[in-house]
Amino acid sequence: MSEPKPFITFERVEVAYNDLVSGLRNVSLNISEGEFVFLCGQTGSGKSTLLKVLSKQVPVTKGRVIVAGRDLGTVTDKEVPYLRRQMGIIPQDFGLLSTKKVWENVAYAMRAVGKSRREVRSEVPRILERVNILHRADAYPSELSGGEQQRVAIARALINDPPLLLADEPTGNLDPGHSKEILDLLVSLNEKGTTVLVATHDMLSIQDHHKRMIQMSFGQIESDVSVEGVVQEIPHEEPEPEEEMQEQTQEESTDAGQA
Amino acid sequence: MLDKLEFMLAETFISLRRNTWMTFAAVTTSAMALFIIGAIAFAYISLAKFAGDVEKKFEMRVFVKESATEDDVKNLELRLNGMDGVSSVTFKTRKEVWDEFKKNNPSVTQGLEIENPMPDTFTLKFENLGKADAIAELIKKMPEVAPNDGVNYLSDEQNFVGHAMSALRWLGGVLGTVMLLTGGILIYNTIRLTILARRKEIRIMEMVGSTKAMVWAPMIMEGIVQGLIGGLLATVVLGAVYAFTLRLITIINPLSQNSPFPLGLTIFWLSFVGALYGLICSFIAIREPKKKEIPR
Ligand SMILES: Nc1ncnc2c1ncn2[C@@H]1O[C@H](COP(=O)(O)OP(=O)(O)OP(=O)(O)O)[C@@H](O)[C@H]1O
Ligand SMILES: [Mg+2]
Repeated sequence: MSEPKPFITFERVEVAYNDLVSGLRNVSLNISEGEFVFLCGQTGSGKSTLLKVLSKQVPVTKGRVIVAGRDLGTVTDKEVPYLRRQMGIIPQDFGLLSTKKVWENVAYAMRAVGKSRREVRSEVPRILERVNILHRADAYPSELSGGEQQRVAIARALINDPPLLLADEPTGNLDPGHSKEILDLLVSLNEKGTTVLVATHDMLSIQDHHKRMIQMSFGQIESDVSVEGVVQEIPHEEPEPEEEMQEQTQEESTDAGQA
Repeated sequence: MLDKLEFMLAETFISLRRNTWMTFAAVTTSAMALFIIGAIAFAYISLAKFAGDVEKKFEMRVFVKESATEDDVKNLELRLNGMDGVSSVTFKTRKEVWDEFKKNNPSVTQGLEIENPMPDTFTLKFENLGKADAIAELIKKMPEVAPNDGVNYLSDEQNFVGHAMSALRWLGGVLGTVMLLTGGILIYNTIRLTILARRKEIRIMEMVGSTKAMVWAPMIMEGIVQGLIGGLLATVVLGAVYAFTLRLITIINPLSQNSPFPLGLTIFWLSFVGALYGLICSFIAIREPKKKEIPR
């Protein structure tokens, strides 16, 4: 079987929030273009951190992250907005503007990335249609159900037509019925070619969808089960000894520096 | 490009409306600051004009002590030339001074066969009247200068103008600075409030990939607009005060000649300074929040 070139690569990634708290520890993984991946694990296991690393909201302490052939370490502050246009970010809390109608929420985001009024006029209905919320275009967020609000948030994530969607607990605030609706929507977007990463601890809804599932625990990948149910080998699980040595000495030197 | 500008301006005006009272406070304080600075600048300029001739003629005479040698005189000349605020130094020997005096005052000196009572004399001119007192004090202490009344300067009129101008400079400096600081703090606060009020918008913008300029320009523009309105307001008040003063003067002295209010120049300078100041204050206000990332 010929593997497609990976779309996202984590190479031995470490994220240390400070001396004591680490978000990711030695995480390595490959995600191909067009894949659908669930990230699961208990609270504090590093799911959000992994997604934030991809959108450069959190800096990598050690290791390398490559997205679409680009090493994120080489992306400058000026380039970050353009990196973010390559990915749709879907927050758990929807992040909608309550004073703006559904279509205005999407239009606002489009204007904020520099699209003209004309583009907005022609594209907003198309995007709302894609997430099946066009019929509520003139409603205010408070007049929508949680699932509908999340669909608006997804619509907003689609304005740049990104090849990648990052959803952090998209169903965290929803009841099971609406959770399924949202996951189905994400799956259907994935079927049209978008790579989708979903962080969740909603194990029930995951099981209905037979998708790759990366289980995280204490900042490490615990298991990685492919669509076919094959437990994938976790790359670089055993650190090479000489690098281990290197890390050790580095740690020692920082310790010494602090003393 | 125009589309982006339109979006940013719309955002700016939404914020200005949202913070009505803070905006009002910031604008009026800035206007007061600019008014005070403007008014004092006006008074200063008028006084300077009035004093122009006097100032041009303004001289200080330094008398060399009798026992001074030629070297002493040369030395003194060097030191006077090197002083801060002195624009020119001319020297006359005691003979020249005496001849000049005799020529100018023939009735006093006619037939008087006395020995020349005049000392060697330096004549100093200044860049700025305000410094004359300080310079005189310094010169009095120089060893080559005649010990009593070695420095002679200032008619009462000159003295008054010099004092008035330095008082105005001082008053304008202090009052203007205090008001400007207050206005600046208010602009800063308004922008901080705007950032708080726009937290959600900013987060969304950063999430969907707006450029930093797009995210933060509305706040900068808000500061500029506040400063600008302050400047315009100050111009209006200043114009009114000016007109009122002119009327008072014409009532007191119907023959006095007065120049009209330089409207264009005032609008330009006050709104330019106001806008620049607003820009600086809002820039300081966004500096710290700009570094933080808001999206989750
Ligand atoms: N900004 C931060 N500063 C310091 N520590 C942080 C920060 N964000 C996360 N952490 C820590 O990093 C670890 C991983 O957090 P992360 O948010 O990635 O977990 P998570 O798997 O998303 O959890 P949850 O399911 O609760 O969302 C946790 O121990 C957390 O306390
Ligand atoms: Mg999380």
